[in-house]
Amino acid sequence: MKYILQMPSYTYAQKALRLLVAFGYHCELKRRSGDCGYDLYTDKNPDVIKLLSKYKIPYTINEEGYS
Amino acid sequence: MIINFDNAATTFPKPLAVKKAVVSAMEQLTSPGRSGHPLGMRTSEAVYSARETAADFFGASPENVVFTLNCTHALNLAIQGIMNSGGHLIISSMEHNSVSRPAAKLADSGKIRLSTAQVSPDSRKTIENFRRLIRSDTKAVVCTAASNVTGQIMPVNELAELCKSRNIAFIVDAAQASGIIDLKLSQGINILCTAGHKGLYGITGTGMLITDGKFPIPPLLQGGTGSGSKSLRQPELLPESLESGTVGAVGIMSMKAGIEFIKKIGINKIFAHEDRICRRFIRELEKNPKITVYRQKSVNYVPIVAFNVGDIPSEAVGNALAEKGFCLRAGFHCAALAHASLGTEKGAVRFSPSVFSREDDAVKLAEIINTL
Repeated sequence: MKYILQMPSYTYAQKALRLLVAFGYHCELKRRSGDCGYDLYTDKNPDVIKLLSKYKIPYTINEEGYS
Repeated sequence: MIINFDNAATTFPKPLAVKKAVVSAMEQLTSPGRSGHPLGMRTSEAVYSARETAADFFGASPENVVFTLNCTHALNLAIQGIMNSGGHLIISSMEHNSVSRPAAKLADSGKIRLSTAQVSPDSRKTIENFRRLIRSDTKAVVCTAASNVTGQIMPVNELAELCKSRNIAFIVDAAQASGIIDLKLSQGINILCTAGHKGLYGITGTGMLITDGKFPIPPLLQGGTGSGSKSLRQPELLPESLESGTVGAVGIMSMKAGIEFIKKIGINKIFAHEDRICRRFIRELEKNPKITVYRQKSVNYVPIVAFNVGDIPSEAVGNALAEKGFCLRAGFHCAALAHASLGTEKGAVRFSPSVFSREDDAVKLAEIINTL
């Protein structure tokens, strides 16, 4: 299962992507359908959320998830 | 033969790496931050990497790097944005029109109160002149990092400290200093505005506003940002809040390549090279008693030399040099306040080398000037 993180802009999506990858998490950035924006698909690990909060990166979590 | 000593306006020629970056961007990039297709994603990634490069260079976070059309655009965003709700603004007496005109417009409309702090050759007096003008409603101070007319370097660190102690936004016009002297937000600069086409060696039509985020900047323009498109409201997060409309990816990549070029050579080496050329040029000019050089021994300058030849109008000197293939900017350099401050009623001629300039060309130029 993965987190789908709705990012407020490409800039923050890319910032989060680089941060998470640097910390060893698998992460994929995709254009969000339905509302112009970008989503990050990343490991469902609470540490991911802690990391984003620590670096003050805004996001909205969508826990629908996918395999 | 054309030799450019007007690099304070736009550096020319450009580094090979910048030219290559422009061609590459034209061949590979489209619109950033607006789509999920390969071209769009590639462009978005490239523009973000340019934000990272600029952020690293000026000591900021990537999301706080706003790409603009030029330094004037960045300064207008900063000044009109910060002063949007009124208050008191202080600018220096050496400001470019990109600062003095938006400030004057706001003051003329009655929206703000405006004061001008006299710049002195003595930094302590300059700081004191700013300090005296601060009031309880002073919201921002704008000061150039280095004059675009004389090259005088301003006491940025001390002014930053002064502003910080009074919770005043400190906005720096870094157009003439970027790529020449090391500037970082950590010096206490809240908002740094710069051009991309001068000392950063990018192409024209490029600039940046770089902020520490302490003072929110409401946008002057609203429009498409590629995010939250269903909303009629402008996004509030930087950089998109200040980047309505498609940014110039080609120019942005040129700036990125320019910054990397500077980092590779070293900013101190660039300064030393250009400064050496200026000092040699001045030594040659000093052989002619008719020439006035607008420099003082106790003052530090970026590599710019303003001068006049006797009573010859500066534009006439500029034209005479142009006929010999030398490009120098004459007149008032879009800096009414600075020339009024200097008392140069007929303007001045400005000599400004780049990393590509040669000392022997400066000597040849001085020899021609000495015959006028």
